[in-house]
Amino acid sequence: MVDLQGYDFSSHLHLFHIKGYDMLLDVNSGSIHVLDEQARSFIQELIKADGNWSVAHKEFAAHYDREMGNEVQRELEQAYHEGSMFSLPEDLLSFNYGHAVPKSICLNIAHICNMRCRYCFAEQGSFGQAREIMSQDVARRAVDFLITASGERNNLELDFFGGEPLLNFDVVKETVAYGRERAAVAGKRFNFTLTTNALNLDEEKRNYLIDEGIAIIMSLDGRPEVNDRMRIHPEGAGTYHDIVSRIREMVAMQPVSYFVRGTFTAENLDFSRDFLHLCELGFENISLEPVTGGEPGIALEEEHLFQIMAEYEELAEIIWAREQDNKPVNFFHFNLELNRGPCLPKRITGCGAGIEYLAVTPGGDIYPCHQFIGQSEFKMGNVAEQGLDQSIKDRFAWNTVPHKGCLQCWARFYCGGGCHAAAFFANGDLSKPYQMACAMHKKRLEAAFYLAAKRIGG
Amino acid sequence: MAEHRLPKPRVEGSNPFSRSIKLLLYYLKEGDRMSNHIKTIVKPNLKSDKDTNCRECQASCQSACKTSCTVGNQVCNK
Repeated sequence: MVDLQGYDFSSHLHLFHIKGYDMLLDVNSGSIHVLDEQARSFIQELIKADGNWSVAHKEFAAHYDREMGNEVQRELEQAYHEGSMFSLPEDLLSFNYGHAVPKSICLNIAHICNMRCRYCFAEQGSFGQAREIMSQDVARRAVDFLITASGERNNLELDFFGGEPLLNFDVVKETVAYGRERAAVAGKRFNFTLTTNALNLDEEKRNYLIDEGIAIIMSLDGRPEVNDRMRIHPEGAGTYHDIVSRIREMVAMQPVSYFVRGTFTAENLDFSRDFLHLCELGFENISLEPVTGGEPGIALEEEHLFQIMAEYEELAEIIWAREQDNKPVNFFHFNLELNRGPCLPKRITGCGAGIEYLAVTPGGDIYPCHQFIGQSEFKMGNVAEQGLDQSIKDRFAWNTVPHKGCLQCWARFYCGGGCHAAAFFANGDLSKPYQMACAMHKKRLEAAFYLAAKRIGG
Repeated sequence: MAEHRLPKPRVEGSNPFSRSIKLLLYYLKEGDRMSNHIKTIVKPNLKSDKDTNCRECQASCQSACKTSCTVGNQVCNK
């Protein structure tokens, strides 16, 4: 009999019910199980009995046949011996960033924007700084900085971000050419992405992005009225009809990778309708992110969580229905890599901000990520110099799952401890996760597990 | 649950011991774990052996995600 006395069930198992399915995540192994009523009931009794099999059997027998309890126990023990049940945690404190070096840059190539989105965390592109665009010289220095700083890492990433990067398109092109040239000499490879509001995504730029194999993320919030309440021209008019045709034309050209990315706010808590609208426009790779911050009326509050949870379940249903109809759609936040996912060290070190991932302003200043730009206490250096502020690096290197009070959370290996910036801006503390984001993340995970169950046993 | 319960072998008789043996023989023959009640849809997959922590995989914010941290959808590059 497997000895479970003292096993920390609440930290190492996640038992949940979603849309008719009883499911169990064995947190430390990453195994996911679908349970029938008897298995769910027996496990509940086992948890209540703190791992005492005899007590669990006795309580179980009050409702079910005793032999059924024996069957469930045999299956649980077999799963245990396969390593997929009641697994124990590894020594997570022994994992760290090790030899991690910068390998990924968010290049804020333009701190100007041709939209005035009401929820913009970048303060209409400027991040509270001067409205300027990046020079060729600074962009080249950023590439040089990354190639040198990345040491033995081969796969480098550069995302053109802003503001609106297409407002500095010549420097985008020059940077791609320069980056490829320098990477070839250094024996490395650049993956380029570009995040745009699509207003200036004309034929010339679309052709360029296709020819260069640049992955593209295009912003569109969903239904016309929803998009046009938030994503507006400087004079106040909505942008939907200006951008939707450009995005569709871009997608029709089959970019190497694309996402249509929307933001939902307190004003469109029925965001599954926006997801459906984006599906109906023919988009197959969609992301809908909860707004971060925002003015009163836009910001997401705890009172909205109930509806947000229901919407995520509705999204899962829409996705499943489309798959049954041979119209699959890839929703970024349900897109879990369940079998070839990242290693544990990656999972507990999260996004890599301040260590592997850095953001660079038009003036060349370096910050831990795009969301920290303009926060002077987080300025780490400048691309004109090699080297980064060690004390800031240390703060981020320390800020991993085991140090953030996340060791009791069942979602700890899927969120990396959550967004550093969200923790900082919500709680004034890098190591205090933003609980609203945690709640939403957990629901997305449950929905993703549910979809996995449907796909396998549906 | 009925819609996704695993196919259960048909076993006759009311003797629990005999029933268990028949179930065991069935699953041994099928080459699968006994799984009347528990269906494993994802096997153990969290790796931490010596080949891990190579840091070659994508940074999570270099994609459609710019405001929340998601590492569970990254693909191991090894």
